Amino acid sequence: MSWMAVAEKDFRDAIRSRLVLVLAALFIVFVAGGAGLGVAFGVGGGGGASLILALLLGGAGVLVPLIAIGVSYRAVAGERSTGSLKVLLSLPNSRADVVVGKFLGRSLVVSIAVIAGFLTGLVAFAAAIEGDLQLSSYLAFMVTTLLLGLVFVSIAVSVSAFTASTFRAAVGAFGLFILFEWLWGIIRLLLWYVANGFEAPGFGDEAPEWVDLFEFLSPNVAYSEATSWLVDRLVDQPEQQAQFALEPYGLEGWFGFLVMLAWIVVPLAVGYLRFESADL
Amino acid sequence: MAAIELDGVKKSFGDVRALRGVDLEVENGEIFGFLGPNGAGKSTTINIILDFVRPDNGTARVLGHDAREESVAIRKRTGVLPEGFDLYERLTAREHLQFAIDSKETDEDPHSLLERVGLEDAADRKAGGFSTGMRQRLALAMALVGDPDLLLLDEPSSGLDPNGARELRNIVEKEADRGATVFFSSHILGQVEAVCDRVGIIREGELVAVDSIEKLRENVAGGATLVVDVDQVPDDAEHRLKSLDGVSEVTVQGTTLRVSCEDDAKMEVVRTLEDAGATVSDFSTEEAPLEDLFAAYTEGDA
Repeated sequence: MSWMAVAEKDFRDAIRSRLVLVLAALFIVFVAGGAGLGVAFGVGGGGGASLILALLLGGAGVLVPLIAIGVSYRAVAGERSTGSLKVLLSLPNSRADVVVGKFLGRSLVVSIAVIAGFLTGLVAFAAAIEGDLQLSSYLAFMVTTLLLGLVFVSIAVSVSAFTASTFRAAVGAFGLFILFEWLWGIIRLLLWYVANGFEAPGFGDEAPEWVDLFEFLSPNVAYSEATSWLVDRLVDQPEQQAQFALEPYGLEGWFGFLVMLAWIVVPLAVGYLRFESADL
Repeated sequence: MAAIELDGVKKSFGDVRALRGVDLEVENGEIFGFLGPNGAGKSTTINIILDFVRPDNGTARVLGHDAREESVAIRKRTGVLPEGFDLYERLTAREHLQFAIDSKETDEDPHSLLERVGLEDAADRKAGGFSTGMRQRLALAMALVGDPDLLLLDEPSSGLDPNGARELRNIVEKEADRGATVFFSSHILGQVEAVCDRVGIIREGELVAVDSIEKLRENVAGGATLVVDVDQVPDDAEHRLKSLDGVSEVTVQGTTLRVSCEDDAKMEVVRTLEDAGATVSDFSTEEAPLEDLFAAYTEGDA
């Protein structure tokens, strides 16, 4: 179980990094600040809490990937550029142990940051907002956010395994985040435009199902779809049911979980294959 | 079964042919010195043994395993002190050793290993604050985890003070006594001479010699220097000696002549000096300095 030794070592090492502590603190401040702002604007009661939750969802969808990338982009490339990888691989650790161990070690760091942020938020909500926060939907939100964190740890570790330069690893991982968060929607529109016979679709037109499916394949879209789907299952408020949920080929929000799982497994596999074949 | 067997190993990086067909056998239990100037291919050879780098051609077997396919099995029984390595600056010495112990799945005590390399007082300090020598010691302690059958030390003396180098030699000899094979590389012959049973010399990606140091000395022409003391040096002595067969160099200092020559030419040198009118009061033979021996293999067209 050599990957466990790697994961443990990596966790101890990463958790002491100043960058990691700053990022974790950032997330805690973000969640607590979100709750605080809600109070400042006089939002109270159950409906208000849902609104704050929706805002947090948007913020976490950006912040958690950035934290995961910040924690993970140096995972392999950093060891390669300093030379500590020589120590790591002189010991009986396979390259698969390294990739898996790194993923687990950094995932644990990111998960601790996310859970700490959510617990802080819970305390802030309890203290500041009257009426009950739906604990179950809050926890559901936390679970999908953790999953999103793992997705971007996997992506960043994979990119990190591709190169000996931490700069390139950072650019690659942040580039992919920008692709998923902002460029994906543009690409979707382009696809739709092409599918529409190179004509701009009219207002109110429905996109072809495969274009919606494409949109669903972004980990960021999958995250928000999965979260809304799960929260809707838990909150018994019909008017809150998402009106604009993606449902290509009848795939509902649960499909978002599969998409996120794929975005954990596939990058790790690709990163491993590349790392395995590299001269170090 | 040999501890290390390289068979026709070739490796290029772009246009650079780092290894041009290396065949090498390191016997079980021997201390083998791997010598060569920087850039000759030492690190590439070691990297292939450890599967950091894959050969274009040829095979490498280590401790009976294929270096490419069974690298983890090899590294379970090998201790490595890599060259140009770095440690985890936020982890303590003890945590480094614990990691090595966990990776090797043994249950040794980190403390006793730290004692062996003289780092017991720094056990709970983070490696980020270590000097080069301390890092070297810590990496050596990690290499000793699990009583390896093969110790692979890449330029181990770099960063060690003379005291540390002596301790390293003691450790290496103890490991060899225990039965371990020791393979270590250096670009300085003097470092390996005292401990090595055999040395291999690599130059521009080719192994140019593998033998004991004594044998290497014998093989190098002009391997000895004849030192002759005379009452007075005849005017044309230098010229006369240089014209003799087998004499490569003559230097005069006061009434002492130093003549680099082959063994057969020694008596002729003395006779020539006496013929020229000098009285020889003393003569002796000095072995070629190791640097000259090394240079003979690694420079010119050896």
